[in-house]
Amino acid sequence: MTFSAADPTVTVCHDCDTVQRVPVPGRHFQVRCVRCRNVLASCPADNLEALLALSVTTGVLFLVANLAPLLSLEVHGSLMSTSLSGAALAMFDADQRVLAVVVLFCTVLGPAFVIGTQIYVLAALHLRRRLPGARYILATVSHVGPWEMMDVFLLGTIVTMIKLFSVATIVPGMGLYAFAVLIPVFALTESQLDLHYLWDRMESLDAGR
Amino acid sequence: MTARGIDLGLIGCTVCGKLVRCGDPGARVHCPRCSATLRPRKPHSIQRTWALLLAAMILYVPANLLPIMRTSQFGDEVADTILSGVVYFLFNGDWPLALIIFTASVLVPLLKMLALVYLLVSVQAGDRSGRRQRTSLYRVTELMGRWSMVDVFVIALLTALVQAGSLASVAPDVGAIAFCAVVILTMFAAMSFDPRLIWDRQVQ
Repeated sequence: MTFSAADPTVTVCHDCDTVQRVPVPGRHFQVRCVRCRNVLASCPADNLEALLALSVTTGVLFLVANLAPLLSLEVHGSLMSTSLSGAALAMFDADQRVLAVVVLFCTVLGPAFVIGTQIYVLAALHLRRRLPGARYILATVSHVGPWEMMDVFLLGTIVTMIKLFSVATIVPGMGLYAFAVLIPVFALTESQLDLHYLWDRMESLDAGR
Repeated sequence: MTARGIDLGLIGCTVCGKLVRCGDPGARVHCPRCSATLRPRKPHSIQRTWALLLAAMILYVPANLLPIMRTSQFGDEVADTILSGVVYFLFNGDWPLALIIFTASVLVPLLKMLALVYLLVSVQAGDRSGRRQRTSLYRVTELMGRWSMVDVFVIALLTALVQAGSLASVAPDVGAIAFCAVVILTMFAAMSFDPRLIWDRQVQ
C-alpha cells in the first residue's frame, strides 16, 4: 500500500506512528487509531460563528473574573477581597517571585493568551480576512495550552472557601460567579475547537478559497 | 502489518497536523504550514524524561517534608506541610476535602512519577505486551498532572485573603516552591516522553 503526503485522508497517529487512511467522521462520531485507539479525528464543529460567540463569551467572563472580587473575607467588620489576578500578585507581595510567576502564568497570562487566540483566529476566519500574526499566534497556542489551569484554580477556590468557612465569614463575589460560568463555557469551546481543523481553514483562506 | 510513518518518510506535524514528507529521518524539516520543527521522534526522549523525572523525585522529598505555608496568629506561628493540611481536615470531619487535597497533592504526583518510571523501563526493556494499555496510561498521565497545582493555588488565595492586620496572616514557604517544581518538572517529563517508542521494535 502506498501513501501520499498530499492525500488528505492519510494520517499518521501521533501516539504510535501508524500510517492509515482516515474516513471523515459523521456527526457525534470519532475515528480512532487502528493500532493504539488514540482519537485521530472527530467531527469538526464547522459552525465557526457559534464558536466565535462562545469564545467572546469566555473573554467577557474572563475580564469580569479579573476585575471583580472573587472572594471576600470578613474579619471584625473589615473586608479583605481578592480577584483572579490578586492571588498571583499576593505571591509577589510575599516575596515569592517564582511562585508568583507560575501562578500568574497558569491563571491569568496563559488563559488570556488562549482565549485571545480563539477570538482572534475565529474572527479572522469568520471575516474571511488574513489578520496579521494569526499563524504565529496559532502555532504558539499549542505550547501555551497545557499550562492554562483555570479549572484547577476553580477547584482551588472551592477548597479555600471550605477551608476558611469555619474560621471567618467568606463572601463569594461577582468574579467567582463569572468564573464558575466561564469554566464550562471554556471547556465546551475547547472540546469543539480542533486546532488542526483551524489550520486547514486558515490554509484554504490563504489559498483564497 | 501496519506501516510506520518513520519507515515511509512521513511525519504528522504536532502543531498543525499537516502530513509532511521527509526523506531522511535524521534531517531537520520545518512544517511548510506552521514552520514548526518536525522530527520523526522526540529528540533524546528517554534521556530527557529520565533527567526531568529524577529531578522531580528528588524535589518530592522537600516538597513533602518542608512547610508549604506559615500561618501567624496573635504572635504564634504555625508551619503547615502538605500532609499536616490533610490530617487537619481529616480530624475536623472534612474528609471529602482531605481526600481532594491528598489525591491532588500526594497521590497524583506519586502515581505520575511511578507511571513514567514504568513507561521508561518497559520501553528500555523492549517489552511488547500491553502496548495499547501503556499508551492509554501515558495519555492519562499527561492529562492528570496539572491538577496537582491545586495546593499552590490554595496557598496563593490564602496569602491574598488572610493578610496582616486582620485575624491572622498566611505566607507561602519553601516547601511550596519545591512542590510547584515537582508539578512543573513532571509535566515537562510527560511532554518529553514519546509514546511512539512503546510501539517501536527497538529503542531508537
